[in-house]
This record gives sequence, C-alpha cells and structure tokens, in this order.
Amino acid sequence: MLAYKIVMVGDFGVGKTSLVKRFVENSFSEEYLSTIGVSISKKNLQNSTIMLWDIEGHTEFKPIFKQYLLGAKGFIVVADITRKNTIESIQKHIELCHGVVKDAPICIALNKSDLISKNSESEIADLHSISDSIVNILKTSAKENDAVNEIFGSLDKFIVDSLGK
Amino acid sequence: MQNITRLICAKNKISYIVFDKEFKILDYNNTIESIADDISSLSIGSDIRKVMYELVGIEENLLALLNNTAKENIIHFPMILKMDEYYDLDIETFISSKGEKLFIAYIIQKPKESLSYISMLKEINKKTLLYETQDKKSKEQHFDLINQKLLSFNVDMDGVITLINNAFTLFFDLSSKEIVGKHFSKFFKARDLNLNANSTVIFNAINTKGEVISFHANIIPVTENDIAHENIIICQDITYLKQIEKELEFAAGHDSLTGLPNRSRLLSKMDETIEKCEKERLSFSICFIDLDKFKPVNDNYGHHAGDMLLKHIAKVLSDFVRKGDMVARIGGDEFIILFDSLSDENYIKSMKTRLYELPPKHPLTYSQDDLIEFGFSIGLASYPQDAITSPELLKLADKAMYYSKRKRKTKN
Repeated sequence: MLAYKIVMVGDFGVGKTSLVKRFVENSFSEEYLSTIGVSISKKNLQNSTIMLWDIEGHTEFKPIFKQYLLGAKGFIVVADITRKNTIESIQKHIELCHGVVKDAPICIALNKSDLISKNSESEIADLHSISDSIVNILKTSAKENDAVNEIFGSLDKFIVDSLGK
Repeated sequence: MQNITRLICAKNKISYIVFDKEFKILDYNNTIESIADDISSLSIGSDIRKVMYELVGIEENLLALLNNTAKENIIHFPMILKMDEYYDLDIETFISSKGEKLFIAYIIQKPKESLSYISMLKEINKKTLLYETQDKKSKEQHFDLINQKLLSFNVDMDGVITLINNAFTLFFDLSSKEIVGKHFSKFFKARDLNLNANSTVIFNAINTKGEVISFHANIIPVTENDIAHENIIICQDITYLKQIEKELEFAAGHDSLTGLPNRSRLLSKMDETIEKCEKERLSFSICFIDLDKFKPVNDNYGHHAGDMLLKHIAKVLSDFVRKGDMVARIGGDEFIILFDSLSDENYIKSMKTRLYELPPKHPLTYSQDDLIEFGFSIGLASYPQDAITSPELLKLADKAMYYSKRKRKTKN
C-alpha cells in the first residue's frame, strides 16, 4: 500500500484541523482550539494511506515552520472564505510549499462555505492562475461535510496516478 | 549504540529508536511504546514508518543524511502533538559498533513549563480570530443597515430595471423576479420619466403599509467606451425631510399659539380668492374681529390666561365658520374671518349679528369659580364692492371695526 505525506497549510483559524477531523474521523466541533506544532493523522484510502500533517497556522507573529513540509507529496492550502486576508495569503503559502517541495501538487480549500451565500466563480478562476500545480480548488465546509472528501480525494488521485506512472 | 547513550536517555526521559537504511527497527527503549503511533507494529525488524508516522515521506531526506549530502546533519521536527503531550523529534546518524551507519531518532518530551507558552499562543489565536470575525460581522451589519435604507437598482437606457438590491425587494415586499424586467415607473412616480445621467430626481413610492415615501435619487451612468448603456439609481429615503419641509411651511403660514393661519397666509388666501372671484365673477367678504376687554384679562389673570383666551376664541370662531371659510389671527387680539363666496348684504349682516352673540354664549371657563368674559368689535369689507385688493380690504375692515368699537364705547 502506498503511503505518503500531505501537509495542511494556511493561516490560523481557517479550519485545517476541522477538515482533517471531518476527513479522518467524520466529526466536527464548533469550538476553536488553535493547533500548536503539528498533529499527524493517518487515513487509509482504497489505494493509499495518507499521513496528514495538520500544522500550526501562519500568524503575524509566528510563521509556518518549513521543516514540517519536508517530504510532502502534496499540500492542501486552506483559506477561510469569510476572511479575505486568508484568501490573499494563498499565494504566499503556495510559494512556501514549492520552496520546500518543488512543483508539488496543491489543492485549495476555501473553507467555511456554510457561512456565506455565494462566492464569485471568477475569484476561483483567479486563484487557478497562481500556480500550474494547483490540482483543484473547492469551496469546502467541514461543518456541513461539504466537498471535504472531494478535496482530499482529488489530491490523492492526482498523487497516486502520478506516483504510479 | 553505546550504553552511555542509553543511560543518558533513561535519565532524561528521552525515547529513542534505532533503524537502518532499510527503515528496519534495530533497537529502542521502553518509553517509545507510549508514543508509538501503532504499537502493534513496534518490534525489532519491523518498518519504523509503521510505528512513527513522522518518517513517512522523508525517506529521501534520511538517505541524504546517511550519505552526508544533506544541508544539516540532523532532521528536526519540533512540537509534535501525541496523546496531549508535545514532543520534539530529532533524527541523526551514528556509526554502530559493527561500523554500520545507522539512524537514531530521539523523541524528547517537552517539559510541562512549555504548556503555559502553548496556552498563551492558543489564547492569542482564539482572540485574534474572534476579533477578525467580529470585525467582519460588524462591518457586514453596518453595510446591511445601509443596504436596508438605500434602495438601488440598475436600469437600461429605456428605463427597464435590470438589477436590484435587497433593500428594493424588502421595500416593495416583492421578489426579484417580480421586479427585474419591469419599467421603473411601475414602482416609482416621478415628474419626469427621463432619467438623465448624473442628475438627481425625486421619486415617490408606496411602501407595504400604504405610506407614500419620498426618495432623493442619484442617477449614475455606467459607461463603456464613453457610451452610457445603463444607469445606476441610488435612492435615499427623504420622507422625514419632506415632513420637516411641510412643518416649516406650516409654521411660516400659521400662528404658533392658536394654530390658525397668520397674516401672511391670510393675504395669500385672499389673493387666491380674489383671483378666483375675478375669473368667475364672484364676491367674498372679510370680517375683522378685535377682542374687547382683552387687556384686563392679561392684567388680572396673567399672560397665560390671555393665551388661553386667544386659543379659546380661535376654537369658537373655527367652530362657527363654514367649510371653505378661513379664520386667521393677524395680531395680538385681532382675528379675521374670510367668508368664501359670500357678499349678500343681508346674509353678512346676519353673520355679524351671530358673531356678536358668540362671546356671551362661550365665555372661557378659567376655573371652577372663574368665567372669563370677552366681547368682539367687528368690521366688514367685501370684494369687489368695497375694495379689489387684499391690503385695501383689510384696511377697510379694520377701519370699520374701529368705528364699530368706538360707537359701542360711546353707547356704553
């Protein structure tokens, strides 16, 4: 069974841990408990095993520790769809990921989609232009379990397919 | 691995695990059991990646460490959370007693003192997130409130609505489908149906309660290559301004004590009546009324009683006249009645008589024991018999009143 590492990257409070909990345990909590350091979870899929590194989010006074990104086969960059500044940080996060793992595939999760009524499709198209390595961009909701499996699934499929070649 | 290293690890509660380039576990101490991700896989010879998930994915980095091609001679992962405890993971290489280069991973539990630092970080992040989301919410609420008050919509160059905001649907209690595609005049009444770009216009619309609401609308053109193809209309509710305008207009034309029209309003009304009578060959009369015994009321009872009396007379006269007539107060104790379309001499005389009868019938009840009596001195003038302008008519009526007063004084 192929086992590989995926790192969740994003600003603090965007819902990285919630997405991991929803994907791995199918659970959700409204309470915000900021992740400090890193927590690693394992998720067995049909053709692979993913080690999900849920790392501490970027804050103004504490940048992401690059070492955590070492050896990742892909990244999920997460932003809070209700906080514009976290969406604006996506490019910076992608640059950080590619600084450690060149051209690694990336999926972008625009999380907390349950809190908004709509989001412009043109904004998503704009995000695609950030990098050629972006595999998928989805509006996700860990709370409503919306597009969570899809975002992890699409990255897994891309990685499994590319490693199988 | 040397015994001294084992002793140091045991003394400092450091877990360690030794593995080779095939990632096979060669040695470990007992404390590793409490932090292994999969304890069932923990045995000599098993794959370390099944025991410690941190090592999955970093195989190339480990081999670079082994081959001395890595930038650093250690791989360091700090602050790994396992079972509510934080650990640092350091992976290094060493030469075994057999001369083989092996890996050793040290897992060092963070001291309890570091927990207060973690709690502080968590608290800061929590507060920052709360601030950011609350700030956003308050901004949203701010704009929602504005949006509720400002109706805005887009119209094409023919005045057909193409886009509306929430305030529009809320105001008319209609869905977007029921509004978009219709001409704006279906919803707003304006003097001019042409919406000129960069201009303003006053709209009236009826809300769901049936009230007429006035809007001040700005027309902003949407241009493409300098050609306007649409207009954005932003409407601000100015009903309260209209109300103020009405109140000011009323105040300008009325006596603040009695609420009756004042001299200015009376003269306007007389001018309008003269114009009408001139056209239709009609006539009308005015009656100048001056109060008798008004000064003693002020002197004996005070000015508040004088004010009460004036208000009382205003009511008595207003109740006396017909619909269409006007009672005005033009001075301290001077009232005018404009009898619309009335100039028959006999009828006017009878009205005059009835007017004289009013004061004794309607004294002011000042208190249980005090009735304030008053009297009228009356002078009449008619259009067009006596005069054909408002000031002249007033002057003549005043003069007639003065003679009447003097005559009655002489008689008494």
